[in-house]
Amino acid sequence: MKALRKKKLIFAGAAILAASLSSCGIKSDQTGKYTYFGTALFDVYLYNATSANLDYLSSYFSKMNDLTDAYTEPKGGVTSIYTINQTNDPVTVDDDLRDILKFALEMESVTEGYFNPLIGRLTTLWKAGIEAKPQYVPEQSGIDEALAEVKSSSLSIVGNVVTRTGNGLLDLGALAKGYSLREARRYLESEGVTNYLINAGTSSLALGKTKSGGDWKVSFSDYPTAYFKTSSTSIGTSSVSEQGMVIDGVTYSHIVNPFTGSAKADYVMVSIKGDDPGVDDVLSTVFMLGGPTLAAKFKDKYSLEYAFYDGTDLTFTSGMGVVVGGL
Amino acid sequence: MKSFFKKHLWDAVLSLILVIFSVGVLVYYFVPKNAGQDTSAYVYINAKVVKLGGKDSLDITTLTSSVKYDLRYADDGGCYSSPHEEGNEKTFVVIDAEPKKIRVEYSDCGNQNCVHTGFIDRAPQCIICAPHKLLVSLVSGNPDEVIV
Repeated sequence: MKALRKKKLIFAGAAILAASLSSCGIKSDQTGKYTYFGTALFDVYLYNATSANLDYLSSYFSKMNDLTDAYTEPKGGVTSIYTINQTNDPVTVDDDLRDILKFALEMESVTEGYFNPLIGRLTTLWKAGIEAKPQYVPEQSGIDEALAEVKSSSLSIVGNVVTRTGNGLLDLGALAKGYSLREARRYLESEGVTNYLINAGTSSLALGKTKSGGDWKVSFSDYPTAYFKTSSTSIGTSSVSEQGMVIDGVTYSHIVNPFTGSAKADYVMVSIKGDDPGVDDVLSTVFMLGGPTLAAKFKDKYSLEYAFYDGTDLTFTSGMGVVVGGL
Repeated sequence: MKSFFKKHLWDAVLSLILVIFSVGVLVYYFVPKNAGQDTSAYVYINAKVVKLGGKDSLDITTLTSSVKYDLRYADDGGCYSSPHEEGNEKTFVVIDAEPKKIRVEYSDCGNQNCVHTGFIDRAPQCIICAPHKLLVSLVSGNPDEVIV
């Protein structure tokens, strides 16, 4: 009888141990695959993290995806970019949407207008041409009309109230992913997660260390024989190869110049290594327009390293550590 | 001494089971899974997974022969895959998977960037067809390499 009681106690102990080991508090590898922000594929690898960490990121990305979607009517009473684009009346937004809009205005100021969050009508115009079959360059009259609307529009934020003036439409495609990674990175650091990779559709990366504690090998899809090694950093990349077209020998991309309305692309790819995924995302777009001359102005301010590929030559700053000639 | 072991035999057996079970749980959580050799292909249209052969992903490392899938639009606007059928007018993309590599063999898109990409064979390579909002992505269990 006594022995039976002892056996029961031992089994109970084993069950408690197993339950505690299986709980979400235990740290292990966590991977997630999500589809947010249009066609982007989010790959998340967290090492020595909890399932709660992954759940938090998944939930955050999902929310930001809904808030920054300019083209889909939100469900469940959510106020999003789409909502703001439907009216010139003041719109009350939640803290997350307010913060990303503030960041957008900050980057518009910092880049002296090269990044314009109200460029929606122009990007829509050019994307329609790129995605059409056959592809086409939009009529100049349409470009001029959309450009005038972009230039005559503005956005103001007072507290949590956002007011859009004019007919320019918000489009945060150039920063939504990067901004989300910026916040994700802050969260992971606060949670003590140091080994991770968040790949937001290749255009924005937040990198901790690899699973083994080393550097990641990062290579360029547009220049496959070059790579660099890095960790604990962020990378923003813009490329015409995914959303671009060549018509009459001229390459056009989805990146539109907010001063001219042109989508003519002088560079095939720009990749930036920095310390802020949000800044990297915006500046990789801006550098596609302004080239290395503009990039040089931001290098020290944001501790950036970068690489440009113009279809012929790959040029890069020394701190990028690019190795050319093999994988 | 003999009587001691006899008396505590069940205690020892149960303790051993407990230790083995605990070690097993620890091994499950902490020993690295996937050495990076396994590579699966995921196909997305408009950010939604398109199942290949009824599965979310296709393990190209275990393929022993070529397999092709047609991507077609359903009447409800969604997309589905079907075993390749030559000349089917509803097909807008043909995915060609071969042992350890995959490509977009055919697309009716304007720029043909996806077709020109050719085969991809290691994670995290991907093929993108912007006009169709198509993404073919290779995923490894344990990456240490990224392509931007």
